[in-house]
Amino acid sequence: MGDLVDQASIPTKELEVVPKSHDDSYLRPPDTSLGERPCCLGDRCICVWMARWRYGDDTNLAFVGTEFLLPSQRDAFLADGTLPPTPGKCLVCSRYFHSFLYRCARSDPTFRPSASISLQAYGNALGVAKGESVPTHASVACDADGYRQEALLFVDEEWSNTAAARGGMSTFLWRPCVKFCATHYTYVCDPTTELPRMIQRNVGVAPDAEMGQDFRQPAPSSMAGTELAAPSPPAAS
Amino acid sequence: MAPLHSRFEDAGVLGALRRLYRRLRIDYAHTIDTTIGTLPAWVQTPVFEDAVAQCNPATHDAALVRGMALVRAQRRLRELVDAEAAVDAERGGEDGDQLSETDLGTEPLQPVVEPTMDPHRVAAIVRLCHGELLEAYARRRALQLCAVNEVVVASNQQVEFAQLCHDAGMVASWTSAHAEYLATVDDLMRCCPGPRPPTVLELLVPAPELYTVPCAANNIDLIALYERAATPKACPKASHCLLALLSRVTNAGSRGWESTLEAVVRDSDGAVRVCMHAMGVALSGMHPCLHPAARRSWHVRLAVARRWRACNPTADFRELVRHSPVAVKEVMRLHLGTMLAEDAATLEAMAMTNLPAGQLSLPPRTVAPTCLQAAMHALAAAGEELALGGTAASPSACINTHLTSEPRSRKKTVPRPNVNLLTGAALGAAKLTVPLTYCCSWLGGRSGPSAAALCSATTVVSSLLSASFRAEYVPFWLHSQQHGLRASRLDAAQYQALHEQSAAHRMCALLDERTALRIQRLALTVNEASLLTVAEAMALLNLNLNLAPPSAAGTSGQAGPVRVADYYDEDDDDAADDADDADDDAPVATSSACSRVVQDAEQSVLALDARSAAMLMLFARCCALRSRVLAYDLGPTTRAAQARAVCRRLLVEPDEGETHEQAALRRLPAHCTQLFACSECRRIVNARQDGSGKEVPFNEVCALRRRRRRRRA
Repeated sequence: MGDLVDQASIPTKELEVVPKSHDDSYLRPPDTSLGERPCCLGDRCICVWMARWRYGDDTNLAFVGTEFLLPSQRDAFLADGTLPPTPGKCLVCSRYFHSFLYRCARSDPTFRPSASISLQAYGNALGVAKGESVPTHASVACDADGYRQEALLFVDEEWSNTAAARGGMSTFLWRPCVKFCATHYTYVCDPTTELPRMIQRNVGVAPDAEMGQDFRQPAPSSMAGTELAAPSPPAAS
Repeated sequence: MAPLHSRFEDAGVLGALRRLYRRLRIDYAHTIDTTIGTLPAWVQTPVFEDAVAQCNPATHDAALVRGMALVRAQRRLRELVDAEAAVDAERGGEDGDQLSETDLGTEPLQPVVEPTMDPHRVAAIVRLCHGELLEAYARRRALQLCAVNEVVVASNQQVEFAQLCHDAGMVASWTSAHAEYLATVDDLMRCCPGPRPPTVLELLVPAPELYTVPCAANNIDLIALYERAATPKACPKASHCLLALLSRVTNAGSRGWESTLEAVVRDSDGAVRVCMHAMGVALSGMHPCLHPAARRSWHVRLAVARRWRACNPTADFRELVRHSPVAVKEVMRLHLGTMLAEDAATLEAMAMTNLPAGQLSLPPRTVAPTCLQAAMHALAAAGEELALGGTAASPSACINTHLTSEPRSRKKTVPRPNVNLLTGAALGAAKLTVPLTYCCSWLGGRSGPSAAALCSATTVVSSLLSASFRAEYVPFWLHSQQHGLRASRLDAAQYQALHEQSAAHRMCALLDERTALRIQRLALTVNEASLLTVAEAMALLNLNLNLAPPSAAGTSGQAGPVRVADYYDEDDDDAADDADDADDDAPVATSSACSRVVQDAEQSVLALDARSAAMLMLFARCCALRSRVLAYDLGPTTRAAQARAVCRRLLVEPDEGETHEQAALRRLPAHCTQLFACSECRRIVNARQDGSGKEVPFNEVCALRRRRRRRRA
């Protein structure tokens, strides 16, 4: 039986492991002056749509996300400005694709990883994708600078009894991937650059530093009416 | 457990306020310019303290006057919008002429405000009136599209209607949150009589936020739990009740639903709270699955919320479970829909693969499902009756009065307008609607392929081999019973004898060695071999379905392909004589409980000639063995990391020029680098620590079990 591992094993993809801090640095608009590229989905980028749904069509918090680069790709970019030949998706859109394709494969026993399927998000067509093209990277899970278990795609053991899990999508069983969930993202305005960006909340192993908990600090009992006049930092628009 | 959203910003309330106000400004530009003017930004700001600061007379002169002027202007405009909506209703929903302020008659007296009024209350009143105005506007716009008891059909109107439903629901949560805040402040003020009433700050009332009132946006976040619906073992036992609820809400039938609810009442306080929250949301209409005109005013919603809060979660929920289980199912469907709206990728995937949960698409993505909307209308009416009826009214009685399911046949007889016949301007102008009807079995079923619909060749052959074995075993068992012997467990010799006597086994044993080896290699090479259907496996083995007539070999004795069914008949002449001719042509399934798919697959196998069937059976047996131990190649990086970890754990330092892998394989015993599994109980025998059980360096479950068994023996 031991020989079976070498002779008849199911192949998986070697993936780069990405820490959460690396992901956090890509939840912003691209700096085109440095040569960064926007998400290849353009106006259909999910970062744009989530902001419009939350803050209205004319919000200044809507932005097209930065093309997500893996740590090795970023190192190459910082070294000599090299970017992947094909423009890629931003982190949020990439997670949406991962979640969508995995759920399709998990729900449909006839799913073929090599087939192109059309994708939609929030009622918008996003193009086509193949199951065998995901996952593109793995995330650090349940460790420092990593993600909590509930932030990851839940891949159960039954998944191994599907054709997709024994073919092009076998890696999902072994490599942790962060799922897409709209509640994990909050828009803020960067106080230094005044540009919008996103913050991940309630997904990291470490407590959220910027957003804190879901409740505000109570007002001190000595607070007088005049002190209330101090404006709080604008959160939206 | 955390709510889906806890702030207006995250839920999209601010977006809804801005969208509706922008449209209101377009439709009522003149009136707004003359009354409200430019709306101050603090009216819509998410930070309540900012609004309070702007209403503070200590820092802003005439802040109170400006605030109350805004209240007056917004109330007047809301009355105008309501009056125009009434005119529209008289004209059958057509957009009527705009009324002027003079058409409204005398303005009612405004409440007298003391100069010392707390800025918190002023800010809350202004923002409440703003929400009330936008709700009225959404109501009018929605009534222009369809009446309360109707739903739009044309796609362009559906998009607009869905957005209106969503925005109105969001704005309602804004209005109700401020109403609840003001009501709480007033209640506390009344409770503190004295020469100097306390200030609002001293009362420590939390600022109005999304969490102030129960609404769909602050439903409990159970997305992570729902993901595990197919694998309950991955969840703690305490959450099984809730998981069962979420799994069963998408079933069409009600079988098992009431018993699940009873288990919830008995075992899980947390699940009861989730259900009570969802029911409170539905009764007060604080969700997007409602026609904006069907949502009650904030006065009624406040009364409903307070009445529902006063209910006993145990006694009243038990009564609901007993008398209105269908209503609980609908509200839990709404709860699931709001969760899936946040997990958009899952919802889209479920819709694409035709899973029932994929139908739970809510505004603003699409218009809510007709039956869900009808159920929510009924529950909103029940909530109003409950609030107005006082403490004497029973929740289940009110719900049962309004929520009545109509038979599906009646629903189908309603003619649906043909959108395809209308084009261009005609489509835009026409009001294409269908009436809202409720049928409790609206959700469920599946039109796409499911896992059960695809039966693998391994499963089919397994059931056939099992039937073949039973054919030998049952006579033996009957014989033993007649002689007073118990034959429930076979020893090795009996098993071997019976197994080798079975027709299927004898047929497979006739295959030549070369063919058998080729099939074994094929089964080991193809990763998904055990998942192939009969047709796919036959294609892989290059087999043809040879439908030779049974008489070809059986009656004339000429050489020809022998069917598997004939092979069975040869063995049992008596049975063949007694059997009906029709039955010979159509082999029966191994079990009457089999699905149609399994029966068809079994018939395909039985229709094969003997050699092909033997090849297929051997292939399936090899596949079954292969699928019991799936081997994955995790790549050289993981392999090296694992070898390094093993070496570090066992204090093996690699020599110069030696890798960790080589060191581990050469110097360590086999049980340190390879897994040893027990073929009997399928457990791992290696010393290991899997993180479960007691805090010990390692556990040897299987070895311990085997040792215990040996001792007992």
